Formats: sequence, structure tokens, C-alpha cells
Amino acid sequence: MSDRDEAARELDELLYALSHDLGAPLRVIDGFSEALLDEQQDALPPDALEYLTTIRSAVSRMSELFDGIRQLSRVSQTPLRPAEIDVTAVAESIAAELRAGEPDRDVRFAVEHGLVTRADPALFRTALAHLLENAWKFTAKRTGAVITVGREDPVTFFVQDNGAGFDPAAAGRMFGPFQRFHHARDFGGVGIGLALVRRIAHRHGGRVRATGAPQQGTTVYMELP
Amino acid sequence: MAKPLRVLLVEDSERDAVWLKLCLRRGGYDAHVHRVDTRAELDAQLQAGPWDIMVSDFNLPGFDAFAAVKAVKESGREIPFAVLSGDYSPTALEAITAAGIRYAYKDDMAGILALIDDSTRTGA
Repeated sequence: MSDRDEAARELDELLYALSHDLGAPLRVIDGFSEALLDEQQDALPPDALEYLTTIRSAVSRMSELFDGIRQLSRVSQTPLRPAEIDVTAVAESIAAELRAGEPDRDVRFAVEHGLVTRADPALFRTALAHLLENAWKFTAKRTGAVITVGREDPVTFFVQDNGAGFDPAAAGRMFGPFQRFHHARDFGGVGIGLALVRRIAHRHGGRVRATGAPQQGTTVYMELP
Repeated sequence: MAKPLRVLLVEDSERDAVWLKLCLRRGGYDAHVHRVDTRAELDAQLQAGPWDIMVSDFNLPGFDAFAAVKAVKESGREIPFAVLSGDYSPTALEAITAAGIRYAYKDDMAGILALIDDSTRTGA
């Protein structure tokens, strides 16, 4: 596993400080505005109610974003405990969970047999789950959806889908936090999944990259040396 | 009918104390919460009593949950205790769990109430 360089250390410290110190005032705003709405709605004039509802909506959004920061902080803080991982089994397990959550979806999973790696099992599962969840989400409007998990070379895995894809010109920023390339009405989410995957790859001394085109699917590669 | 509850709170942040009071009110408690943030104050309050529960922040300047729990044990008072953590790092909470201490995350109102309900119903 790689040593952390200075930039990574500063990032971890920033994430920790943010998730620790922003959390306190945020939960007060969230909790008290919710209590106010819940306990006083009959007593509030319509304008006040509208203002409060607007506040609640913004706080809800802030909570989502903050949860993303906390997840990013957590994957940065968790000590690595590398072990041999049966990647095929993990992929199949996640696929089963996705199917169980939406049994009516018609999606074919093609997971290569015998995929293995050495990494922190919890973090690896988190990364693979985010990649598969993305593939699952972005094939929602595709008939004949196929999600493939395979190996490009001994150290590089990929998750490929034939779904919505993305504009290759935006490839440079897609692993940044809160980057979303589709309108909220088409596909929901906060946009933290790929940032988490990238952080996990980097913590293992690896890399991520993606290829794709609009309506022609996406392939995300994760290299874990 | 609000349930009376006397809470001895080990916490350095007044804001977090305000948050806990909101949680307790929303959970149907009529709570008296007394906040301390040093070992000396905690010892004094433990003796002054009575308390239904001691709730402690995981980490505060010059103090931590383990020290607070130790203070309760040394006071000879049979008071249940619980920890509230604003910290999500797994290693921090492993130590707490290994010591058999129950905890909830600070921003999880439902979790906090479940923990307090449980702790005060069944005892330490």
C-alpha cells in the first residue's frame, strides 16, 4: 500500500474537520426547523410556513451533501486492512442485492469468473458497490441492459454498462465530489459515488479512469496494484 | 405524558447540549440536563445526584468517554451510561464497543432516543 503524500494528508484533515465541525450547527438547524414545522404549523401564518418549508428543503439538500462529505472522510480515515478478495463473489453479492431491491428490472449481469485482488475488503466492497449502483441506475431507461464486471489486466478491474453514458469532454471532472452529469429529473443522486471510488483507489496506491459516450454506456476502470 | 429524566451530560459544546435537549423533548422526555466538562465537576455532580443516566461525548478537551465511565464506576453510583459520538471513524468506536459501552451517533436523533430508552429501562 502506498504512503500518503502531503496533499493526501491535508485532504484527510480537511475532510475530518469539515465532517466534525460542520455537523454540529447543521444538525441544530435541521432538528429545530423540523421541530418548528412539526409542532407549530397550525400556528404559523402562510408566509412564515412557506419560508420555513423553503428552509427545510435547503437543509435537506445540505444534509445530503454533508453526508457525502462524511462518507468521503470515513473512507479517508479507515485504516487499511488488506486481504485477499474474491472479487467475483463480491460483485455477484452486490448484484443480488440490487436485484432484490428492484425485482422488476430486466438487467443482465456478466461477471467474469475467478477475479481476485488484494485490498481492504470493506473499502473494496464500498467502491465496487458504488460502481455497480451507478451502472444499475444509468441503465434504468435501457431495454436489454447489461452490466459487465471484468478484468482489463491483472491489476485493473472494470465495470461496464450500456446505459446513459456521459459526454467524454466531461471525463476530467467526473470523479470530483458532487459532480452530476445528468439532470436531477432523469437520474437522482448526490454525485459522491465516483469521488469515493477514486479516494479508495488512491488509498491503495491505485487509479481510476472512465470511458463512455452519450447513450452508449460507461466503463469505469479501477487499477489496484 | 412526558417522562421525567435527570441527565448528567459530559460535553464541552453548549450547542451539542442544546441538540440533546431537543432530542429528549421530541422523544417525550421532560428532561433536566446538567452539563459538565471536567472530571472535578463530574465527580461533584455524581455525588450530588440523583441521576437517571450519564451521557458523555466521545472526546472533549482534557477528557473522554472512558474517563467519564471510570468516574461513574469510582463514584459508587449505579448509573447507566451512554456515549454520543460526533466521530464516525471505525477505530474510535471499536474501542468503545470493546469496552461494552453503548453509543449513538450525535446526529441520529432516533438512535439517541433508542439508546436512552434502552439504558434507562434496563439499567447499566
